[in-house]
Amino acid sequence: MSGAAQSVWALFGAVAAALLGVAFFFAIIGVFGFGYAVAALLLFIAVALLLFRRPQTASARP
Amino acid sequence: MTLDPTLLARIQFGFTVSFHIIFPTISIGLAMFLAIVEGLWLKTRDPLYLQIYRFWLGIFAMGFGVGVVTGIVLSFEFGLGFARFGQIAGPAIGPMIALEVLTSFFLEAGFLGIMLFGLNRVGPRLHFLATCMVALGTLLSASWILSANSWMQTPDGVTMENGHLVVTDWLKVIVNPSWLYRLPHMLAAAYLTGSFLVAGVGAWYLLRGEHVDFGRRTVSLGMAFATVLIACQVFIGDLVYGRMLQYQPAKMQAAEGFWEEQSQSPAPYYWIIVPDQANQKNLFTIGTPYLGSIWLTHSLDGRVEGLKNTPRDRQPIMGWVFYGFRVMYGIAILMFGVVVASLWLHWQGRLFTSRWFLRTLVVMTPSGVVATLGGWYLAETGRQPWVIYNILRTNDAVSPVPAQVLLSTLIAFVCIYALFMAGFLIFTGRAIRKGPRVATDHAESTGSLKHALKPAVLDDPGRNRPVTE
Repeated sequence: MSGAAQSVWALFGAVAAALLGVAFFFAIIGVFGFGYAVAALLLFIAVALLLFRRPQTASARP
Repeated sequence: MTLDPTLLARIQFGFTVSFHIIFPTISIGLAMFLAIVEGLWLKTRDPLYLQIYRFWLGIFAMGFGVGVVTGIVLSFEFGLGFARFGQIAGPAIGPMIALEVLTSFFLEAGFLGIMLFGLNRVGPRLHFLATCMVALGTLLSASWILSANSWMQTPDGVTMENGHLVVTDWLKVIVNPSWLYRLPHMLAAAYLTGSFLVAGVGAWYLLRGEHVDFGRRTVSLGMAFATVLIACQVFIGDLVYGRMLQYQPAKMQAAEGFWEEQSQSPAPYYWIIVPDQANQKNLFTIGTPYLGSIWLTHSLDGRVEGLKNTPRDRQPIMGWVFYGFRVMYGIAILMFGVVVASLWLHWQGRLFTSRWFLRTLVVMTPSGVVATLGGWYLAETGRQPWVIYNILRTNDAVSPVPAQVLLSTLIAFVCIYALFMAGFLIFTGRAIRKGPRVATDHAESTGSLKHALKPAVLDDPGRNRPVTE
């Protein structure tokens, strides 16, 4: 994949992650009701724990 | 110029408690972090965990010491500035403060020495127990203080007889209507403070290319804790909001910046207001359309209650309450954004290599402390004009002492506390610049006080067996 295509996909992914984050935030503060808030909280934590198990492959010094 | 003793007593107590709360917040957060890190070291025997433990133990000790010293002053200030509060509410508040001393202070005092100086003198499991007991002590301390403060916000279990409060039900005093909501809110705030503190310092090392393994591990740990905690905190915060709306509607009316009995529909969410308390209106507002209805009423066109629903003589000052809330909530939103970004970078494997993210973490290092201060300003200024909600007004609670006494002691407190803060910042700054020491994979029980007080002796590679794992 070319560099330009990669950066487009990265941008798309970042926007998608941001929108997903906003949706989680709204759900957790109870905008959609208490039941959805509990479900969103548990789902967010589960996703976070899964993601934090991934090894960090980028090894270049920042 | 006439000095108002009530105002001076409030400024003095506000200043000292604002200064004090910084340090318990840090020490509650770091104590739990240290207990988890030491537990991980015991489980894995990875020397990096021991290195992290030793580094943060020094900073924890300094914060703990300043927190204890500045906390003791508050008890004396009850007598200096709020003696009538003590006379009237003493039967309820006094035993709770005494129970804090009997439970948490004794527990901490019993184990703090082992935690600070015993790493090389006692076995690792006993040392871990000491760390856990200190963490439990800080939790118990927060629990009793939150119980006393929550009782002042939502008093229960008392009656007034001959000008004094008489406790009729201790369970209702301790487990008052807001305590079960505010305690986890405060604990999550303290643990978030610790998480962003360690992540920020780790990010600083990564940006400088120093102590890279230490930096990566602390950023990873800090962000993992922060991710779970901020989600829980947002959830708990909404529960606290609902509870306070039920028990202290004036506080939440002021916190949202609306004056009219019913806001327009749909209601905006105000980020900035210039309130005019005398004329009961806002001179200037900046807000997001619809967001007030969505967040506060969970509908697209709901109306929000304004402060005019509360009689003028029972209204808090809107500006303090509003901006206390906005600081706390605004930082919570920022924290949530940072953890979402960290999850995205984790997915991409770039958590430790994105400079913009590491710089953000460095900027966010004190965010937990600032948010906690905002939350306490919301809680305390929103309770006004009451010191015990709907029972005792603040004006009726102050001591009959001359204003000059309060002013001179206030100046003395400002000078002494400035020295405390300077000492803490200098010590912490030096410790961070110096960085973590290389740790062995074990804590040695040498029986020597010299080794306990100077763990650097153990870091001499010529005196220790090398890292084997």
